[in-house]
Amino acid sequence: MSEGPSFGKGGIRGLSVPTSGKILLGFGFALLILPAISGIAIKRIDDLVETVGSVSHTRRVLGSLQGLLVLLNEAETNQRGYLLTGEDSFLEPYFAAEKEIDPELTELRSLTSDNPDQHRRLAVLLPLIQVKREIMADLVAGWRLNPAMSENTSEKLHVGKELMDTIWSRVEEMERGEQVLLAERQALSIDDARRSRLTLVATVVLAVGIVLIGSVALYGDVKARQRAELAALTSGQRLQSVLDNSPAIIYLKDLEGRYILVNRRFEEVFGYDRSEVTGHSDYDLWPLENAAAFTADDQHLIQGGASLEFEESLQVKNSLHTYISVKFLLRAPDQTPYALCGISTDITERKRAERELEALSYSVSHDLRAPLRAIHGFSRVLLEEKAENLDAEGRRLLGVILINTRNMAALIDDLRVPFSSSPFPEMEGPQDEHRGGRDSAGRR
Amino acid sequence: MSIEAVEILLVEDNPSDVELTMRALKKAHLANQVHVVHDGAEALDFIFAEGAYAGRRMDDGPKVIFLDLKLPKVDGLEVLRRIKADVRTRSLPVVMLTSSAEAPDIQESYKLGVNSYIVKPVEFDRFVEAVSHLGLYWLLLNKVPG
Repeated sequence: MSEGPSFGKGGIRGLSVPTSGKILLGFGFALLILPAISGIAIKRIDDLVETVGSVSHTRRVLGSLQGLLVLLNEAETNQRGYLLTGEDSFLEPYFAAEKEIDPELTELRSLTSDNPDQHRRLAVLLPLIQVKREIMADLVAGWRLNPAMSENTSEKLHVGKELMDTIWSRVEEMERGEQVLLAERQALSIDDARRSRLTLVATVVLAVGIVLIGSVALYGDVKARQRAELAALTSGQRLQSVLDNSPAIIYLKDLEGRYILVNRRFEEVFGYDRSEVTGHSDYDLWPLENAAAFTADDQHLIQGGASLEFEESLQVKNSLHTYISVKFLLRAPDQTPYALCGISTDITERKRAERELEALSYSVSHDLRAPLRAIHGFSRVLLEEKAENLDAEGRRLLGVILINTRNMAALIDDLRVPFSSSPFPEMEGPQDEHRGGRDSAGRR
Repeated sequence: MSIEAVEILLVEDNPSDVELTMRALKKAHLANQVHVVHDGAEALDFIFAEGAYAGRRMDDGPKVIFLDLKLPKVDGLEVLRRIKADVRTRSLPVVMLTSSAEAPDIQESYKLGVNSYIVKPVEFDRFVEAVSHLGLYWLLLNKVPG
């Protein structure tokens, strides 16, 4: 059944199409939704990265401001220590701190370059720091030349002290500005993180949901398809096994004359494998003359519609078999024929038994009639020619013999009735034998 | 029984049937020129003037042959076939006189060219009637060529 019977295919298709459509629709929706959701998630993460970056930037600005204060404080403390004690050991930390102030300022400038408020505050702060550093440098340099307290020195110290306070408060002002920024940015980053998490969770939930729904639908579809295919297969197999176990030759052809299905008996009798038969027409299998005759029969059946029944002879494994064959159309529910079926039953044995019985009854009736004729004939002769030698009782007894002989003749005649009631109807014409049984060997 | 001028050749193996047929012919006053043979081979010898009948002239009859179907040696249908196949005897009327009412026997006989086919009735009166009708028809009414 390589090409397979075509029934049931429509059923399978009808069952699977809506499910496949749904699955396609679902996957299409998923394909649209997932990139959109992923885009949103990526945007949220970018936002988060940016706010986290700005928070750390603020922290660096704060660190830098603190560092600047520490350096200025260090420089001033050591400068004052030197002025008070005159010990050179204060000079080294002073110069070290003084040297680090410039890089710190450069960093601070670059860190606040994106913030106009801080930039403005820094612009005010920088000259103050510069003046403060110059005063400290003057004092240290003056003390090294002449280590004595003068009026000028104490005034410079005083100015330096006040300047330092101003710088301190300016830096603190900048720190407060950064602190506000930090609070804002931290809040923003928490918010961003929360939203990113929400978006991610939503994306994952949605993706898992789509995959789950898709899988369930797909599983259902596959299951339904398997069930339908199995049903088609088993119904085909069930039909095939029923047909295979029939002693009759059975075949199905489509209306174009191609074999759809044959049973095992067909294979055995004609010596073809079903794979060599299905999909092929009579012209592929039999001699031209026979194929043409079968095709003519099929066309007759298709056009006439009524089943055909006939006897035919067939050469099977070197012996002639007699078959009683029926050919009929298989019809769809709307009565349109879609295939034709032939069933040929081997009646060779029955025919042989009939013939034997026929022969028996022939010889019985023939052989019995002859002695009966003699009994009747000679009784009659006795009655006619020797009547004078018989008394009334003798003649009556002969009469009984004659009556019983006649009865027996009638019984013998009846014996023949079941097989051939009278020879004369069958004598109407020799064409009779062609009408009943078909003669071409190999015919089904 | 004279071999000269035989009118009826009766081919019958059953002695009872022979006697009954003879009686029937006697009743019809046709028993004078009857010759009886008891099997197919003897029948052919007589007809074709061969074997035991080699001296016989074929012109001397018979005018009609009553032939049984079931015969020893050569059966009735074969005898019939041989008669109808030979130019010299083809026009010789042959009547099957038999117990068999079988269609194939009747068909085969006519196919071979039998002139009549009579199923012997069991009842003697009807048998006599049939035989006398046959004798009258083939010996008196029927015209043969030549």
